[in-house]
Amino acid sequence: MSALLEVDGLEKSFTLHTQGGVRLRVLRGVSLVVRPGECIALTDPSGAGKSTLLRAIYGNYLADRGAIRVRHEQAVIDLVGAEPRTILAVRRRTIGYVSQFLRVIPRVPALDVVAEPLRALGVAAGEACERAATLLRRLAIPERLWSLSPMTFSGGEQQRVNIARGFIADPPILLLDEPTASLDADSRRRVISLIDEAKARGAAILGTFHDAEVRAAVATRSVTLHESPGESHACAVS
Amino acid sequence: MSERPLLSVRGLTKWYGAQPGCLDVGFDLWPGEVLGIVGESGSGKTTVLNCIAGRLEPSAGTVSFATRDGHVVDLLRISEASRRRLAREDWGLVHQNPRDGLRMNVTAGANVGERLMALGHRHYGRIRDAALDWLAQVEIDRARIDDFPTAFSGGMQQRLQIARNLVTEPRLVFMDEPTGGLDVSVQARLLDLLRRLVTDLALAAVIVTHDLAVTRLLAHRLLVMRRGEIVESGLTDQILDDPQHPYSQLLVSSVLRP
Repeated sequence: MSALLEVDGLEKSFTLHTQGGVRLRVLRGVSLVVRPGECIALTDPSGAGKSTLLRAIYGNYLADRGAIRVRHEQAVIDLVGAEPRTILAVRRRTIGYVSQFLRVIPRVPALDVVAEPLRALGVAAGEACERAATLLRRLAIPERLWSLSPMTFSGGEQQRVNIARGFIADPPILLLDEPTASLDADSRRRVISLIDEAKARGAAILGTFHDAEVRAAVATRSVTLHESPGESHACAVS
Repeated sequence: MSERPLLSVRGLTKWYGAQPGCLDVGFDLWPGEVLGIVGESGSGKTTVLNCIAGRLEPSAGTVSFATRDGHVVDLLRISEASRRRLAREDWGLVHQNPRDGLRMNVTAGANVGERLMALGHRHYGRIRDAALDWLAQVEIDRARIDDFPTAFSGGMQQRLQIARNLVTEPRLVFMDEPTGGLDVSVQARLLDLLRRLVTDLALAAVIVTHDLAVTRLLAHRLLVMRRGEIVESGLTDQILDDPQHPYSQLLVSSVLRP
């Protein structure tokens, strides 16, 4: 497979046992392919399952059926039904995920939050912190905040910490869930340039970009989950 | 990534008379992996921990452990002496109540040094240096080395218990509600410390807790237990964000999120 990420007939429903067993079918046979250097924008309206798809690919949600094939180290791995430790290994080396909200860990300084993915790959603390500092500087997080827990940061600052954390280890696959939602114009431009660089180094990016301007700037293709499944029906955006 | 689990539990069952403590529990624990066992009181999570850690004799099952020299032994079939030796060299056990895991009538330094002496260390200066180093690692002022744990706060006692357990560089640590009796602010500090230590030392750990937030921070993987049985297992964030079993959903949805 030449693609880095291939989603094939993915189905995901939620059964709410605590609410009368209601069953919500969110992903009904989603297929798409993301190749190196591509940035695909999911353009369905709110509630259509865009975040669910990103979370299912990351292993945060358990898919019911279908396949999620990723190129991991030299092999192709199907993440549907994979062992937890396989998913953790794929997260460490292959997939970066920028969620909408930063999950703050008490007492851990922003610099360490950002450096952590590199530390998990065995990069020495000094080098990891240096690269984290470079990235925080690029994202215009004031240096006086680096040693503080992001708990007290503004929404936009937390989001930039989250972005730095997702990008620092240069993962081959990036999942971006509204990475610019609470950012001002200057920060948006900085994030766009990070995404452009990731594409240039050959990353495969799948994301939701509510902001039409950002989408136009970063997306190489747009895809909707259900009306036009897969790449054949995708319409070009730029 | 190592190719063999450190610990393999199969068919672990414990009856208390006619009452099941745990039923047919099985899982693998890999080196460097932190496994959380969650469930309400009486779900059997502590029974499982105690059976594995050799504090309780199970009614059936096997617990295979990969020793440092590359052998696999069944912890339930080896002699008491061999099990004690393994426990000393390869395991740590952190109790919910630090008073159960510390010796309250000897100094903090002696509490940490004692486990080294049990492994045959005899050089007093080196043992004291190791104790000082570990007090610093668990954020206890080194000047407190000659104080008794009775003079410590609950949070400090818990950190001292952790130092006492980790000084021998075990490969596997069992923790029973390690943040149980602590104030929330003290919990956060302890969690952060545990998180750093398990990562830096690549420790494998089994953590029993009823606190789901603790597992989110510490555990790679979760087992959800109810009435002695595992009802669901998987990646920690997957179980917390997308629980499948009705009981897991109830457990997750019952937590207040401040």
